[in-house]
Amino acid sequence: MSEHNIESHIKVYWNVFYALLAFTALTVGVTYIEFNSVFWTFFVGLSIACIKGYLVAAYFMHLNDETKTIYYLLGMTIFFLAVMMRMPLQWKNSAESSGENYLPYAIEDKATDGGYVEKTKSKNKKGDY
Amino acid sequence: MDIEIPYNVDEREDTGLYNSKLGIWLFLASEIMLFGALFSSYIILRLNDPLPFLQGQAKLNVPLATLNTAILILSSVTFVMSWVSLKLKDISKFRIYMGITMLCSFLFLVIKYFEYESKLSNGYTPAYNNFYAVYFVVTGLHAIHIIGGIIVNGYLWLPGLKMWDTEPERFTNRIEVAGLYWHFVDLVWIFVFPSIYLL
Repeated sequence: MSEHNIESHIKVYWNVFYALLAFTALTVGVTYIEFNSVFWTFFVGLSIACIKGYLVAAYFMHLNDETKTIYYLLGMTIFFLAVMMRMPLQWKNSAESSGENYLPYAIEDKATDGGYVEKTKSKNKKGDY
Repeated sequence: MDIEIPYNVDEREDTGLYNSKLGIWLFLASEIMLFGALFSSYIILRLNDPLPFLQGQAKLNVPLATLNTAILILSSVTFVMSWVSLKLKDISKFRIYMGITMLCSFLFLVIKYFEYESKLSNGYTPAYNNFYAVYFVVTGLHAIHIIGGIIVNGYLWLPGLKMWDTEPERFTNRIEVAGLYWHFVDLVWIFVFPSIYLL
């Protein structure tokens, strides 16, 4: 990258910084909106995160102007990441379709305030796990 | 006997990269899988039993986490500006920008300390429920990455800077590689923040 190119990039870096701050405020702001759907709440929240992630990766990490080697490397990583993310969901779906509970302790030990440590401990003593 | 390490300044013909840049991208690929596994665990635990997650989230300090997000974003832009300063051969600006990056890194950890302290003093330990287990593991691992970054960046900011006098291009490449790691840590937080604190 020549010095002239770098000078022109400085403005871009600061604009990306301001955009990231604005998107951060937007991320917090949208949580106050009632979407009446878990899907849309997550979709909007994670979409903004993806835009922020793109800005960091493309401009700060210079992925918008990289060699093919890095694109291949990241392509393979994303593929295996997708497989890894899919596996537990597949596991959950197959367990539920066969009527099994794939994480029994998380349901049984749920207390009213969201904690279940006491029951977990007592079960551990009995050697249930 | 001095052994010259090849391709730490010049790019290899086959990869089009200098070696440390390929190395850091391979490392970041493994990091993507590491944090991906944690996000995968988070999804599966939350899908199974969302109540502790919603209750736990309500107890988190969103303004502090938002401030930490802004601090980390600022540290990213100052890091890239420190690299730009080296490209422009302006070492004094490099010192200033890297100094701001270091300051932001420590500020992030101080805020994280207060956040953890308020949780732990109220009995919300990782053993409390699945939400706090995920919360402490994910944000704790991220904080460890911040500490790792501080060690490397601190070295490059102070004792490692002497390389600039003898091998300026190699030193600039070191800053670029350290920067890739630092931006990745920022990138992870960009997804941790909404997933754990907001949604």
